[in-house]
Amino acid sequence: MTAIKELNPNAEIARAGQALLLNVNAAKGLQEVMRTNLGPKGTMKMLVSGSGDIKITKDGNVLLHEMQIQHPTASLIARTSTAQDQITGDGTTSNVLLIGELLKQAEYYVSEGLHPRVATEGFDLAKIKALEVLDLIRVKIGAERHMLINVARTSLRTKVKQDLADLLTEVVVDAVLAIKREDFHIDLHMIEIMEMMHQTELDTKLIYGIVTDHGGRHPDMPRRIDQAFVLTCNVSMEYEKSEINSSFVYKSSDQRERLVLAERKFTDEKVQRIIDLKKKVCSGPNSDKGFLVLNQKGIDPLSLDMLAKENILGLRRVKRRNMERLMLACGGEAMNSVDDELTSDCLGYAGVVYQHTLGEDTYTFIEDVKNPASVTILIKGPNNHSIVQIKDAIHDGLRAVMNAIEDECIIPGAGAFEIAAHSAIIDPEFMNDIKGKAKLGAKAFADALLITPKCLAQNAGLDPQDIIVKLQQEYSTNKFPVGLDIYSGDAQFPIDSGIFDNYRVKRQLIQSATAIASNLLLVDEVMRAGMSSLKQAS
Amino acid sequence: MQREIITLQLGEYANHVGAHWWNLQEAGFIYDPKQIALKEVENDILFRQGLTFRGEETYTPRLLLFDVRSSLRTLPEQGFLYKGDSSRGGVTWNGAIEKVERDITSNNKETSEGEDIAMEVTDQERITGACYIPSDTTIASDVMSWSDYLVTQLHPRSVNLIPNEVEIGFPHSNSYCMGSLCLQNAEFSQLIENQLHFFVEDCDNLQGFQLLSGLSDGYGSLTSQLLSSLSDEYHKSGKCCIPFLPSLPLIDSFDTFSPHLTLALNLSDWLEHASMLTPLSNSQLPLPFLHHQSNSYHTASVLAAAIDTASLIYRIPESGLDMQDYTSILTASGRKLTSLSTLLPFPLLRESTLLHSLSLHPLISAACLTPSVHASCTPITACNIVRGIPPSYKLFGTGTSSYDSFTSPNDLISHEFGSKYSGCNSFSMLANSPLTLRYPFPNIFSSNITHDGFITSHISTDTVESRLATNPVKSIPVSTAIENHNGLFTLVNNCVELFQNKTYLQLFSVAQKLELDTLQETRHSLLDVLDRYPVPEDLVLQSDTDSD
Ligand SMILES: Nc1ncnc2c1ncn2[C@@H]1O[C@H](COP(=O)(O)OP(=O)(O)OP(=O)(O)O)[C@@H](O)[C@H]1O
Ligand SMILES: [Mg+2]
Repeated sequence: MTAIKELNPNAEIARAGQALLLNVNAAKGLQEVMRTNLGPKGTMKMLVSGSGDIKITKDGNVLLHEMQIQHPTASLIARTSTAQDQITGDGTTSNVLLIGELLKQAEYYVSEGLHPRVATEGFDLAKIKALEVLDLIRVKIGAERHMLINVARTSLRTKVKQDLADLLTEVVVDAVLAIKREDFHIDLHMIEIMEMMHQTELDTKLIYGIVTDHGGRHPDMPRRIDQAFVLTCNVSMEYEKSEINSSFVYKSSDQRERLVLAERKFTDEKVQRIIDLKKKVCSGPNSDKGFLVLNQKGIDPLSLDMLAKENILGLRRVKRRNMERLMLACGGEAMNSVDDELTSDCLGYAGVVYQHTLGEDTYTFIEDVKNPASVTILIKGPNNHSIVQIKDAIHDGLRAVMNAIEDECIIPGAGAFEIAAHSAIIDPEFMNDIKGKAKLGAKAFADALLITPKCLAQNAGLDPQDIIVKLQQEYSTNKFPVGLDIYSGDAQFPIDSGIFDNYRVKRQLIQSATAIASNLLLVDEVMRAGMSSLKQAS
Repeated sequence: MQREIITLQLGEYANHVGAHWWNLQEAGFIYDPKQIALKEVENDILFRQGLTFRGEETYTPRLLLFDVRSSLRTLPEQGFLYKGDSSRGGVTWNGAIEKVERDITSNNKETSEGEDIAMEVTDQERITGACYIPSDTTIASDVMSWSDYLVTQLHPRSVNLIPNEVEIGFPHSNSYCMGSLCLQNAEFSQLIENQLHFFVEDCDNLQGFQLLSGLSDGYGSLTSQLLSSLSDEYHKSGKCCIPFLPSLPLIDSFDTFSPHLTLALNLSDWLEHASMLTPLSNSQLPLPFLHHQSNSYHTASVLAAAIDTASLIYRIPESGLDMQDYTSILTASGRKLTSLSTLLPFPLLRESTLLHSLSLHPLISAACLTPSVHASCTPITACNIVRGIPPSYKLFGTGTSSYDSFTSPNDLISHEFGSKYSGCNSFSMLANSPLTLRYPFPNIFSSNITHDGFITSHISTDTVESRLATNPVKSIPVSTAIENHNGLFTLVNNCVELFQNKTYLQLFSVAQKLELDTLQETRHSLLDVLDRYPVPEDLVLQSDTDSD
């Protein structure tokens, strides 16, 4: 490389120009792939693998994960955009589009002689202005259900068909509201997601309680219990050998049998303790109540038999993460042994417990619990790919609701923010304060923002230029956030029609897209794929 | 009572061995009611009965396998049995739908725009039938992946794909941390938890787990993580681990050092949680009577046949031993490493006697499938299995009066073992069922093996290929020995020695984001393991120059 420099003093500049060109091209390429996805009228992608496995998605984040991106610049952009999703749960597509557009707009000025550094100075000033506008047009909310519905609906309608989106909207909003505790951080893990390949997407619903994907394992156990005492425990009810040693092998079969019997007694006694407790609590005025055992360890057929004879429903191998939720929901205490401490005080309660069997799968519904702080979203769908698609959408919806509650505000969508920010940046009052050619950088930034309304228009089959002109005109007369009605092609007020995006999504989007675009503008060497490889790190 | 076993296969090579192993299981099923009395192996230990949504009965392995999507080729992620209803609920969307082919070899993109494309279109295009089996198994180059020859139908919960963003599976420098990277992916780790739970909950009395995995790559560290959570939740269950060791290049740079150290770290992690560890070499080993090639399809078939035989002990209820008994006997004095050797086929001369066969091919001549075993050492515990000696096979000819007291093959074999294992705590089992082979098991036998697995001196003039095509080997007797061997100390010792290279160690800790202290801890636990092995006499002379 030094040799080249000596031969040609301009090599460095030439190389920088070349690098920029390559970066811009990579960014444009990725933008081209993703631009059709944006908004409720974007293109749904159906990924089909050689075996016929299908994945259906419109989500930028899912797509970026599925694509094998080789170009280092493109993969850097992809990584920034998926980071956007990790942090905020949304805005991946917009991120890719904005990075591409920032580079595209800046490249024009740079090719005419603007130094990349000056361009990025302009970016930075414009970014600050855009963030100010963001704060100005945000709409303050509490956790009002109808506002949360608006933001969830906006997000979900970009992921699944309208009727399904509207159903899922109610599900995710109510799920979050159910687990939300005053002054506590919202823990989405308290919402369990369960899948059932059955019926149709539109049968997906929210259950106030817990659903496990396994059942009683004994034909004589009750299928339904009204009013159940609930024992949660972590006690092995399987036949277990005491510590063995090699001499075991040489014992006669008679000796072995006696040993097995003695050891069996140990297990039986544990089960009997539970049965004794059941008899005690389900007596007198409570004799019509039932008994449910939820055990984290195993229950073998003989123990199941003992429980079934007493009309006890016993679930074995309850998932560890469900144990906590069950205890929270039903009350009571999780028992690690069934010795003297096992009393009626340890028991929780559920109003109704019932099982549902589909093929080989049994589901147990534990509902009408003391404390419905943990809920289950039961996804239904006729096949795996539709279930996966719903699951992805639900994740997005839950994040959108949580973000809105935590942000305590939302942003009018449909391009309203972008139109407003563009107009604030190109406003002479702001521009005149910017020194010299950095103005051009700010102008590039403002124009780049318009990619969102443009793409929304294009995906709706409308003419982007017509739309931009129409929206800007409307905004300049009303000074009220105005967005695109993708169905009529007219301007609309998103605040009135209930189209809202998350505040933190937009904020993160502006910041990270600007940072990455600036880096790519300034980079004077083509990035190498091996960047992370060890030899260079050391 | 039946005691179930759940199998975990991690990585491409493990899945090759697994594919053969499951095919061998099915080849051994006995359907003929007249022969049911001969049944020894309890298939319900490895397989589960199930029911599809449409009420069809299924019988599928209790199996979790891990691989990357491209290995699946024509195998759908959910298998073929439990297909949902694709006629209902197609892609419904108000806008355009674009179909993208996810081809493994090319990235061609096909666009078809339109409203509400129904799913049937792609369903028709879907490849039908169970699996693609190369038309001529002697052409191993047709096999691109294990899924090409796996005949066994899988449960929809069996296949687990490594998250796309995690690069895994080949021993490149980043691989050690890949295992933990996988589990950091919340969706992936919850998936595994759910899948594993499904199979465990299904068991009435879980006997244990069988884990097959690479050791010097990211899958090895993923296995470490899984093992540690298994021993946390199911600490009483057996955990038989079979790591596959590639022949790693000699260390001449950091790049070649990295897989060695990854192996060492994984070995140490596994030893902590496993009940028993039997490392096997995945490179081609010279075995008498076999003509196999060096590709995975062939080498894995040999290992699968040996593993199938060795595991008979806990799959035949009559043995009275389960996995816990078996491993705790073999891993006496806390030494969890064992070696596996085999006679494949167990050499029985056609129209001869067992005594004569044994004199020509003594049990000692068994080939060791475990790499880096120091040969001169004798085992301290051992488990021997011989299967498939026909009841009609003569024990010895006339005029060998000193053997007159032997009345069954068992007596004779035990006698042989007795002399091989004097002073060693050994036990053995004789099973009647031979190893049943069926297409697509590769034709790897030399031409002097008859279709029923005997050795014949009459060599046919046909080429191997043509004879095998008309009269392939259908079943063979096999013997295996699992041994707890002083000679296994070399494997551990090689690992310990890696820690002397301080520069590479430092680089490794940076690359894998590991504390140097963690590496030192591993070294100490490996030294603890090493302490359990007496240094073989012929090595004592090389004095210890480790300055530490
Ligand atoms: N009904 C609507 N009319 C007009 N614009 C809408 C409507 N609903 C959503 N939008 C706009 O669509 C954009 C979001 O589209 P989309 O969700 O497809 O992409 P994204 O959020 O950038 O990326 P991701 O793929 O990660 O969700 C936002 O700008 C939003 O304001
Ligand atoms: Mg979105």
